[in-house]
Amino acid sequence: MHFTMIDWVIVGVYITICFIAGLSMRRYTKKIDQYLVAGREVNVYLGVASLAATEMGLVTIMYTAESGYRNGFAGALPGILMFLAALFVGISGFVISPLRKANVMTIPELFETRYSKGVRWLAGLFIALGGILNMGIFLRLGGQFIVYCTGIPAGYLEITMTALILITLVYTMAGGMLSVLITDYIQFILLGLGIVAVSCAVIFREGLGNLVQTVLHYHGAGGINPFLNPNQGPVWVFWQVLMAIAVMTTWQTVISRILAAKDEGAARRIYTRVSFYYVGRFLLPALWAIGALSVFGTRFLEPGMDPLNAMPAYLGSMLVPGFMGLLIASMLAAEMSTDSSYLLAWASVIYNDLLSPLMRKGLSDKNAILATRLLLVLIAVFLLFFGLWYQIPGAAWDYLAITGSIYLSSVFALMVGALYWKRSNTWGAYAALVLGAAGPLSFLVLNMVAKDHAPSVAIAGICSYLFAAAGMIGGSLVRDSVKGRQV
Amino acid sequence: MIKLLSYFWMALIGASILWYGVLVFVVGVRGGRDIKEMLKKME
Repeated sequence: MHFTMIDWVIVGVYITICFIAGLSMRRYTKKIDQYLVAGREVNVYLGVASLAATEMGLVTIMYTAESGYRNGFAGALPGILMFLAALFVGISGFVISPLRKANVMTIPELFETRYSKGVRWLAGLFIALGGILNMGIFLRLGGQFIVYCTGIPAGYLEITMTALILITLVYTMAGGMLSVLITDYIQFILLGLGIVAVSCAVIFREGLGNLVQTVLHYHGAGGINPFLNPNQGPVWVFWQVLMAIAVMTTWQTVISRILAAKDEGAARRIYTRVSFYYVGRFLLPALWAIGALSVFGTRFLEPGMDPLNAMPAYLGSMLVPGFMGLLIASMLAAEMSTDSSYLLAWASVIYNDLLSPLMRKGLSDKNAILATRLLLVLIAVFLLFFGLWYQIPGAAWDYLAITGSIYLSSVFALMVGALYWKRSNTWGAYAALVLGAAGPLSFLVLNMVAKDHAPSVAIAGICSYLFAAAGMIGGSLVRDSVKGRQV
Repeated sequence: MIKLLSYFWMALIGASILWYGVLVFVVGVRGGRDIKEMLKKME
């Protein structure tokens, strides 16, 4: 075990501060919009801290490191694409400007005004389903990091995961978005310090030039050029481009910062200022994994080994006491900030878009907050059980991307249709929702029942975007022509 | 081409570390002010 008393003290102090800060927000949440979108009072820098902390989870660090270990620097390409997408969206205001002006609390709420109540409900279902499935592997990957890095026995993984989610759940339930924001702010600072310190330590120990040579030695030109990488290639890159734009405009946990921003200008500035953060989000954990590659070689790619464990095992072997405590505290910060935001985002959608439309009379603010708190508990319980038994098919990043595509592709088509295409209508929206989910869902099901017949993850991902767009255009035009004939 | 791409990734690593350092400092100070303002309005 690599953990000493000083490391435990650092971690303990961090968790205590976070817990108290999160709980203290309870007194500010009396109305449902304060609970779900912080009363729409979030200014630029708090928005940047919160978005950055949410986007950099321990799961992110694990899968980006895995990608770096498998693919070298080329594995960090999604970060560059997301940086460009965030910059473009921030500068142009594409989707986020009209969305913020609409004053909604969730994305599906917008669809009711543009399409119908039924579309709102179905979109809410897809968002919640895709989002919760996506979050399903967070706990296991986070626990795996802690176990391998600290050297605590593997049997403690489940206990560690459960304790983490319980602490996060309690403070998120207490203050909703306000607790998420305050803890995100603390976590952002700690996380940033940890990432900078560990990255410098890796470079200092291995040498930057040596790390580049390691990549070239094990991965050849494909390690620095995604187009030449056998795990990636042009089709995979194209899928990632589509996904980067869709994530920046429709991923609920990202968009919830826009919906909580105090105005449209603040929303756009949050995006432009946070954009370059996405490069490091992929590249720096990949750098740590390349450090592991230079020390362990490709041992973790051999049968029976898990490449996800390479980076934590490497960090566990190189960091000194005190430094290890800072690393673990910062990684716990990463995990908790992401978990809290995701829990709240999916609970918000289930309450606001699935339950609320079914009620004749809306709930009082007090009961609405209570209902959201209950949903938070239910999602956390589901995550604990799902995270324990589900085995990821292939690379973690591909799993996250494909489960995210269940809703990203269709909701992106609905969003662009609602905001920028006057002829879009309810038929197109339904068709886009169903067709967009077909690709990723069939990939997941085929992977479970007939793995040999499953399409490649990139093909399934691209198909979901193409099908959703075709559904939106085709369905809307058919509706137009039917309506024309009736007239 | 290999040399050029190697330098590209090295520059990107340097820029990322620098950006994270700057962001932690700037957001640390100004984000704290944003929190104070937000909670004042919530009161």
